[in-house]
Amino acid sequence: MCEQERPRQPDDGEWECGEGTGVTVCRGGLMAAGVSHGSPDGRWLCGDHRVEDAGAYPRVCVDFSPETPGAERDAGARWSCRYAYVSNMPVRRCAQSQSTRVGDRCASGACPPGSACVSERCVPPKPDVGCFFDDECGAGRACTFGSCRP
Amino acid sequence: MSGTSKRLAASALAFALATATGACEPKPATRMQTQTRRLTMPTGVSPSQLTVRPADAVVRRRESDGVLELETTRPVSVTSEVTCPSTTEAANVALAAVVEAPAAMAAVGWSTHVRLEVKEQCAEARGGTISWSVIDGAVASLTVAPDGRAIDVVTVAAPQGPLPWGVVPLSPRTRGAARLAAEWRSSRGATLLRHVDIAAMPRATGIPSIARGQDVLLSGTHWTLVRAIPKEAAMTLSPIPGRSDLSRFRASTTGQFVFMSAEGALSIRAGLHEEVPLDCGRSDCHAETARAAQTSAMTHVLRNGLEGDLGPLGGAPCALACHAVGEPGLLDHGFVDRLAALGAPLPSAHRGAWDELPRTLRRLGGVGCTSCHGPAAIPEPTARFAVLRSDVCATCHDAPPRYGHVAAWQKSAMSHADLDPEAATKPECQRCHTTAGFLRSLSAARREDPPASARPVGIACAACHAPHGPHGAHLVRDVTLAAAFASLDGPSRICVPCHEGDAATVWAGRPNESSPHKGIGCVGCHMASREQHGASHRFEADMRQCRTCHKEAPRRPSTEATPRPRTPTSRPAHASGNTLVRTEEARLEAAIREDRAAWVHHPGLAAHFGAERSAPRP
Repeated sequence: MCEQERPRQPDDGEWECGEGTGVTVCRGGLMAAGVSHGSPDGRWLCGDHRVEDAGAYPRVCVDFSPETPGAERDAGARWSCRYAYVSNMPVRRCAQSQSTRVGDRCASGACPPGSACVSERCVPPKPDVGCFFDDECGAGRACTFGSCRP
Repeated sequence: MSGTSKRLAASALAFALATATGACEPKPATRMQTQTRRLTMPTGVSPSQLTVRPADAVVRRRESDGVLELETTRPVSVTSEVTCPSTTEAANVALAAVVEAPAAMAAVGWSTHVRLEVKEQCAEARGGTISWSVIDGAVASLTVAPDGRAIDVVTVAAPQGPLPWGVVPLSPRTRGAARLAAEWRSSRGATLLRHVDIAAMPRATGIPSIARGQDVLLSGTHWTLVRAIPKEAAMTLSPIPGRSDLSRFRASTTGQFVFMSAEGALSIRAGLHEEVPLDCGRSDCHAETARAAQTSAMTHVLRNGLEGDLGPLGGAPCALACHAVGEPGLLDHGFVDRLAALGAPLPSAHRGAWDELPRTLRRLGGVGCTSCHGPAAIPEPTARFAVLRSDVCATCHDAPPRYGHVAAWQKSAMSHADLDPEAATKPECQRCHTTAGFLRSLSAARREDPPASARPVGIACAACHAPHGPHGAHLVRDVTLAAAFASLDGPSRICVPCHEGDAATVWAGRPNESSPHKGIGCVGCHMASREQHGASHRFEADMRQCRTCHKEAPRRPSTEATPRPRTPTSRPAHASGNTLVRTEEARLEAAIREDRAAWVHHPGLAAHFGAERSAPRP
């Protein structure tokens, strides 16, 4: 298990991030008060957060290729990372993982729950882009590949 | 051994710069093979102090801020009298100075003995002598050790006099700070200067929102901890020797600490700068304030320094105490603390330096929210008035002679405008006698009044300056003025809301009868004196300004800080209870009679109304 303090974020503003199946998604984008902002981090793809009441999370950013521990040393190693928040500070915890991720070849293993094996690749169902985070789906439902599901 | 050789052996770094072996790709025969080395200088040592031999081996020598870059064709040695020898052949070499000073000590304690020792980095250090001096601040006593390598210092005693109850505000001037200089001198006269900063206590705003690990002074008697939240929150509360009215408090963890003293209850919250969410600008909170803060010079001061916009010293490490969040020397997760924790060097000033900083440091760089409001939760409502005290700004602007703003203001009448209990509490007086009252008069925003035990707060910095409100140059607050003054421009506008009953009215005159001084504005005379940084905040008219037009300067009106006796009969006309003036002419006449400098502000009107000539007359 590796722990990354101060993981990359899209810019100097306020963000709340989560990670799953090898993709990091951050929501927020509120400008940090009293801060002289630097240039945004170019590795993120960002857009408006299209939910009914975006509130404090007006933007959503995605990093399709988040950095992994020892990336140069252990090329090819597979990591599974999760975000945790400790005293308001994001901490990214990564563990080596053998499980198949979305986009991987599915011939050798089962696809992640909610995805299907299509043309030998694990592919998620077409999303309705209704959510990014579980708490946008209400009680008892989770945001899986962009759609709220039980 | 020749003289040159001796010099090399005694003081130099004998450092072989190996030439390339030619193992890489073949180069054209006509081109010499060279190798590049980067030498990082210790603080206070310039690349120009280094001598490179043989000189003809150097193809290119480039000196930039703190770095010497050499491109050489064969091994060279680099010598200096103030740096230690080094034999490394690495591409990047950090040179060490012969001596180094101990790190800054932010909380030594009052009347406390501390021994400061210079650290010899190499044997060459013993060939020199060290002399000590106090170059800033004061200490109670100092004794230099016989060999000069150490100095015993006793810090000054805790502040005397009436102190506000609760967290005692401490500025660079009042925190018992001193900067000592240790000058190492080689036998041939080369010198190396090292500084040691010590302070009895860290700076404090007086707001009960402090950093974890920050010692604060509590004024009051019989302090006891009533409750800690969470229960595991740890702290130390210790007496100040010889002072029953003071205690020293330090929160060892983050949390809330509720105290009781003989004078009342106090809740202190402790936090860490980096952990404070900066979402203050949420639409349902302080959106307007956060927007305005983005236009404040305070927000961008470190960036501007590092980008080279503030001159050579703008990005200097010594500026960090006031140009970034946190207190150097504390583990408060402020800028300096995190810079050390991340092992990130502070970049030298250059374009693009800001983007080179890690995100977390950019969020802590500049005078951010927590610099003034504290790194913990918002204080209890009864303590919120404290943010309006000059003590908040004093943590940086009370450092004479460089920053004399607060010290000068304390000598002005503005600093005790609320000394008179009636002026401090009557709503019609508060408008111009208290900072909270003045701000309430400008907007509907709620502002808490200070308790009587905290007075005088005076018309403090926040009345005239708006670090995160509509402002003009020098963060002077934008105000909307009555029609008669609406055309006035510049920073003097801020004086008008309170002085439109006297000086400003006289100065503006009748619509078609302009004062010859109208173009000068209040600040043209009352803030004409300069300090090292900015204008004097004593507000005393500088009579030398008059001589540019007048042969003889007028006599100085009495604007000294000594409070005038506050008896009903000695009160100025506007406070005597007979202030109703029915006509414009009568209002002007009343203003003339109250204005002690009417002859200066508007000689024509003063003559017309026959103002007493006890006031100065040009």
